Amino acid sequence: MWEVSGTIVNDQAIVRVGLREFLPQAPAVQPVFVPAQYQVASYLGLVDRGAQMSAISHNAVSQLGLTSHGKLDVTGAGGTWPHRRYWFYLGFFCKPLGRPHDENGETYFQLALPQDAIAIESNAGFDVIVGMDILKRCDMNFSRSGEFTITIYQ
Amino acid sequence: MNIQEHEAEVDRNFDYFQGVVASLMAEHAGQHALLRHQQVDSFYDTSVAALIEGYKKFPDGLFSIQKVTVTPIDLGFYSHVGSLGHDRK
Repeated sequence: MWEVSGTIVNDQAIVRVGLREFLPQAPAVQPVFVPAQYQVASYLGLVDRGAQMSAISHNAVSQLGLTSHGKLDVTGAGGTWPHRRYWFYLGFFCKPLGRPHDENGETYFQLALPQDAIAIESNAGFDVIVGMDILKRCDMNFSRSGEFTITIYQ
Repeated sequence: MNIQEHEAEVDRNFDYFQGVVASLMAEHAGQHALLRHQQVDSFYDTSVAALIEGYKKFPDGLFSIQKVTVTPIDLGFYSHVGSLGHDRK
């Protein structure tokens, strides 16, 4: 198990996530467990239990050089529009429960399979929406003190 | 192959798929279709399976994946802001 923790700011639960380009030649069948210095691009992610699917900003897509492999219709205030879909590896900077970690007590856990996500407009607050496609496999706890934890199971 | 060429293939496949998705719902609802050159090649239970198989079948990467659904995605908080970052093409 791995535990992601954070503080609610402006009524938003923000976590630090890592993104890495999906390489089709690489095996993608096992989760990767590596120390926190593992080279991934670090971004902020909004934890959103109302989002049916995870999302990635155009900013992160551009920085990672991702290539789209499809589109999905997304409904919003302005109607329904097609958005490009991207696949990439996503992980969390987190506390390992009973696992090795770095001097800050932190490690990096990458989800086993490439993440499917919808492209969204870039914004200042976050580059990733962590949606229910990921959260449904986790335990979440929000406390009155303004902190939260997400427990990820392998 | 450059990104523009690739995205043009994705756009053409998407336009084609919009015209046939309703006819696929009875047998393939919820599955993920692998498309190339405006034709459905095969169906998979997960998008990742379709992606990996797509690269095996078409090493040039010129393919796309469309979910067999007629229901749009709701992005929760983000669905209610004005600018969603949709593909304006």
